[in-house]
Amino acid sequence: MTPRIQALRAATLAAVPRISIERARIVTATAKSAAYQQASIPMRRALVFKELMETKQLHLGEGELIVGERGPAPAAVPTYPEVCVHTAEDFAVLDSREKIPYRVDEETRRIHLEDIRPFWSGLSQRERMFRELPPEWHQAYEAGIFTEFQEQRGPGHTVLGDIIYQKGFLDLKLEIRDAIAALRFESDPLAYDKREQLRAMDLCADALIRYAQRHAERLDELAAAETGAERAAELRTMAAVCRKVPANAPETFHEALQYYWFVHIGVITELNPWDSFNPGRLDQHLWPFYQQGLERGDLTEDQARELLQAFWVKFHNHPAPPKVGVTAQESGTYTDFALINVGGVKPDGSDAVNDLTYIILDVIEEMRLLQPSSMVQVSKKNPDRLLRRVGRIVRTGFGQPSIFNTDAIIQELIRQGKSLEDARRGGCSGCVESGAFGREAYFLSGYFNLPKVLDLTLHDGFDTRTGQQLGPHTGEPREFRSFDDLFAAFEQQLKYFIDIKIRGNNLIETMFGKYLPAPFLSLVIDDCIANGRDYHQGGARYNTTYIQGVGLGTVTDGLASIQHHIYQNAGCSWEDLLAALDADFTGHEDLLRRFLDETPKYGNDDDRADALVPRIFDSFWGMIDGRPNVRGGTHRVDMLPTTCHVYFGKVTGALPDGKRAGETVSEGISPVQGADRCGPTAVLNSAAKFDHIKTGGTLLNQKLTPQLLADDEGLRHFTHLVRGYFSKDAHHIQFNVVTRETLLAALAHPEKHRDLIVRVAGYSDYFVNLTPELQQEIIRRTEQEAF
Amino acid sequence: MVLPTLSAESPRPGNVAVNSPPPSRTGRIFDIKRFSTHDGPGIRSTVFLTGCPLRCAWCHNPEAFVLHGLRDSPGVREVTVPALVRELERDLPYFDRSGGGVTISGGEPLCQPGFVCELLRTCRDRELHTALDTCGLVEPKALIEAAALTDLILYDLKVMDSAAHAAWTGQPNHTILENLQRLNDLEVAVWIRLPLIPGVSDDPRNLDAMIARLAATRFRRVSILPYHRIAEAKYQRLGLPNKLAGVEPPSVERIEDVRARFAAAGFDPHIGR
Repeated sequence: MTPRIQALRAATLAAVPRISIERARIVTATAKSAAYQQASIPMRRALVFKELMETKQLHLGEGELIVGERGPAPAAVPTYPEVCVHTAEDFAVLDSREKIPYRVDEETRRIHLEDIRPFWSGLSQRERMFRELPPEWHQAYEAGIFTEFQEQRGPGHTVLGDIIYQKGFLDLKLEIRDAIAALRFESDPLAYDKREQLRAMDLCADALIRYAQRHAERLDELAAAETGAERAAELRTMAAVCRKVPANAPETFHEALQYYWFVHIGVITELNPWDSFNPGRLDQHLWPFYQQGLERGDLTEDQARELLQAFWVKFHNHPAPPKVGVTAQESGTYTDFALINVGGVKPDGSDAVNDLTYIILDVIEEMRLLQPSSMVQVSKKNPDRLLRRVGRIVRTGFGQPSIFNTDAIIQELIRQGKSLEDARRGGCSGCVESGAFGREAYFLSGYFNLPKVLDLTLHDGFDTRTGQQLGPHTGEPREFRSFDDLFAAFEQQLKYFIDIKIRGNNLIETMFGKYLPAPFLSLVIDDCIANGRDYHQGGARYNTTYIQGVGLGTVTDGLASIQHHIYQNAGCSWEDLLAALDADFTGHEDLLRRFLDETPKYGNDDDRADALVPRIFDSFWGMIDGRPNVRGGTHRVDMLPTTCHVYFGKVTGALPDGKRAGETVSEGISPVQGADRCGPTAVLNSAAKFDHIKTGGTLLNQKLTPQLLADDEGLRHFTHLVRGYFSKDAHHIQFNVVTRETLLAALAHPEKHRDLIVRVAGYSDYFVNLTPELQQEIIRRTEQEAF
Repeated sequence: MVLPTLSAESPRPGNVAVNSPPPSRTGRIFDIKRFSTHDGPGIRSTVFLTGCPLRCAWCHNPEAFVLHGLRDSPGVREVTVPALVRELERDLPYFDRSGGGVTISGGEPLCQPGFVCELLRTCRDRELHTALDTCGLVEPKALIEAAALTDLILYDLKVMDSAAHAAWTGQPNHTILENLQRLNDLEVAVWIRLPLIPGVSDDPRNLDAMIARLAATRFRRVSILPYHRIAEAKYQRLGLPNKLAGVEPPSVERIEDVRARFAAAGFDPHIGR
C-alpha cells in the first residue's frame, strides 16, 4: 500500500458519520421555486438534481485520485426529506444511540426543524404511503409480520451494466433527442408523459456533466497552487479526466473508474436507494482498459492497484443514509451494500477470470474495509485456484468475499425470463440478490417473518404479544387431527399476510412511480430511454419485486418438533406444548430440554426435519412467485435476513423448537444457531434440500475455525466443500473464520478489538458495532472444527 | 455398468473366500464423523466401530471398548451394511471432488471382521474410496481379506519394545509387527500412523527402532498424530481413570524434531494426517 493510500485509508476509518443538512436545504429551496411548481413531476425531480449537482459543495481530499463526495466531506451523510422527513426525536436517537450513531450538530437540528420539516411535513413519500396503506397492513407491519423497505428509502438493488464503458452522457443525450423526435402525439396517449420523462433525463445528463466540470475547474485551481511538481501533474491529469467523463466514453482505466464514481454519486444524491449503487462485474468492465493501458504503456499494474484502492476508499467514505425505527432494526449497519462482483462467466459463457480478478482480490485483502462489500462468482468453468485464493482471504477472518454459484444464478435469472446473455452478464447485489445487471429494476420490498406465522397458527391467529386477533381464525391446535391439518392452517395464515404484503407493495410502487421518479438513474439503466419510462415506472428491461423470507430454520424446527412429539411419538400433548409456550417454558424445563435435545433439527442432514424445508419453502414461494407487480413485472422470493432475524425474534413468542420469546430466529437459510451438530457437509446438504433455482437468492452462513484453513490441505478441503455445495445448485455461502475465544475477548474488551470484522448476514461489520443480541448470535453460530 | 443397489439383501456368500470371516450384515458402531479430514485423503466420513483388543493409555475413543457388548447403551447402535452405506454416501458430492471417501475406524474395526469385509466389499462395488484404520492386533486372515477389499490401510505403530508396548496398551506387539510384514508382501497402500505420546512413543530410541523397522518395508508415508487432550472429558463422562492426566501435548518444536527425523530417514511424514 502506498503512503497516499495508507493516509486515505486511515482518514476514512477515522471519519465520524454525521448528518449534513446541505442536501435537504437545496432540495427544499428548489421545491419552493416557481420553476419547480410549474414543472411536471419528472422535471421537478430533474430540477432538484440539477440544483444539487450545480451548487452543492465540492470536497477534494488530500492525495485523492478519484473525486466526488455525496456530502460536503467524507462520512457527512445527507437526509432525503422528500422520502422521509425526520422528527426531532429521530435526530436525538441518531445522535445518541450506542450502535450506529450519526452525529447531529445544533445548527443542523435547527435548520431541519425550522426550514425542512415544516415544508415537507405531510408531503414526504413515507407519510403519503402510510396514509394510503390499509389498516390490516399497518397492523401486520407493527406486529412484526413483515417489514417495508421503501418506508425510509427509495427502491434499489440496482447494478450498473456496461453502458458507461461504451457511451458518454453526450451519446445518451443524442439517444434522448432521437427518442423525443420519435414520439407520436397523435397516436400515443402516453407521448406527453414520455416526453417529460425524457426531458428530465436530458437535464440530469447535463447536470452530471456540469458536476464533473466543476471538479475539473477546482482541480485546475489546486494544480496551479500546488508546489510539488508530481502532484501538480497528477491534479492536471485528474482535471482532464473530469473534462472527459462522463460527457464522453472513457478510454483509460482512470477515466473508467472516475466515470463510474460520478454516476455513483449521482444515483445516491438523487435519492437514497437501497444498496446505494454498484458497479457490478468490475473485473469484466475494467479488463479492456487495463489491458489496453498496459499495451499502450500508459498504465502499470501498480498504478491500476493504487487507483482501485483509491476507488475502495470512496465507497467507504459513504455510510448508509440514516435509518431509524424498524428500518434500523432490519438493517442496523453503516454498510450500504455496494457489492463488487468478480469472476463468473463472460456473455458467451466462457471462463471470465482474468488477471484483474486476482488484482481486485488483492485489493480486497489489503484494504480490508467494510465498504465496498465484495463477492466472488464461482462457475464450474472457473479454476480451483480462484477458490483457493478466496480461501486465503476468508481465513484472515473478515468475512469477505462471499462466494456465489454463477451457474445457479444464471439458471435463476433464465427461469425468471431473462435472456441467456443478460443472465450471464448478471450477478448478485446487496447481500445475495440475483439481477440482470444494467437492465433490471429489482426492488426488495421487505422481510417476511415465517416463525411469527407459526406463532399465530398455534394461537388461532391471535398475537399474544400485542393482544389482538391479527390473522384469520384457523382453528385451535388441539383440534388438528393430523400434522397436515396443522400445516393447512399455517398455509392459510401465510397466504393471508402475503396478500396484505403484496397489496401494500403494489400501492407503494405505484406511488413511487407517480411521485418520486428517478430520471438520473433511468439514464443508465436499459431500456428506460428507449421506453421513455422511468426506472420506478417499469422503464427497465426487467422489473422484479422481491419478498424476503426469514427464519426458515426456526419455522422448520418448530414444525418438525410438533410433528415428532405430537403426531409421531405422542410423547407430548397439545395441552402440554401450548402451556409450555404460553409460560415461555418457565416451569416446563423438561419439555424445553426435549425440544432442544431430542428433536430432529434442520442442519443435520436429517430428513425427519429437512423434509419439511421444501414443503414450507414451496408454500411460501407458490404464494408469491409470478404474481404481478405494478411495473409490468412479477413478484419473486429471496431467502435472506440482513439483521432482521434479531428484530423478528424479538416480536415472536416461544416456539416448539425451543426458542424462547424474544430470542433471535435463524438467519438466511442457516440452521438455528447451534442446532447443527454433524459438521459442515451436513449443514450444506440440509440447506440444498429445497430448490434454490426458484429463488432470487439464498444466504448461508458457515462459521469455521482458523485451523481448518491453516494450510494448503485445508484450502483444498475448503474448495471441495464449496464445489460440493454448488454441485447441488446452491446459490451462496459465506464464512466467518474466527474463534469463539476471540469473539468472547472482543465482548469483554471491545476497546482492544475495534478492528475485528465478522460476517453478519450478507455483509460484514465491525463486531463492536453490532447490537448485543447480534453479538451473542454470532457467538452461538456453530463453529465447525476439522476432525 | 449397473451400480449394485443397497437393498437389504443378504450378503453374497459366493464372493467370500474359503476360511474368510463369516460375512455379517450388521455391525455395531458408536459414531460417524463427517467432514473428517485427517483419516486419509480428501473429505471423508469416518465410521467408528466398537471393540478393541488394546487398552492404550491415551485412547481417544474409550467408548469403543467401554460400550462394546453393552446392549442399547446410548451412542452405540447396530447398523446394517446397506443402511450404513446409504448414510455414508450422503457426502458423496464432497468425496467426489476431494478424492475422499469412507474411513473405517474404531476401536479396532477388525474385531467385527465379517461386517468390515462386507462393508468394504459394498463400498468397492459402489466405487467409494475406503480406508481401514487398524491397530494391527488382528487375525492375519481377517487383515489379508480386508486388505484385498480396501484402497488404503492406516496402520498404527506405537511402541517398538514389546514389554513397553504391553505396559502401555495391555498387549505385546509381536503380532502387530508380523502383520506389518504381511501387509508389506501385499499390494495395498499403507500409511503408518504414529500417535506421538510424550514419554511413551516420542523417545529417540523408540523412533529409531521404528524407522529401522519401517526402512525394511515398502511403506514411506507416516502420519504423526500429536497427543491432545480433547478426550479428557470423555474419560470423566465414562468414569474411567485417565492414566495420562496432566500430560501436556508435545510442543511444536518436539513435533518438528520427530518429523525431521522421519524425513531425514527418507520417509514422507505428515503432521496430524
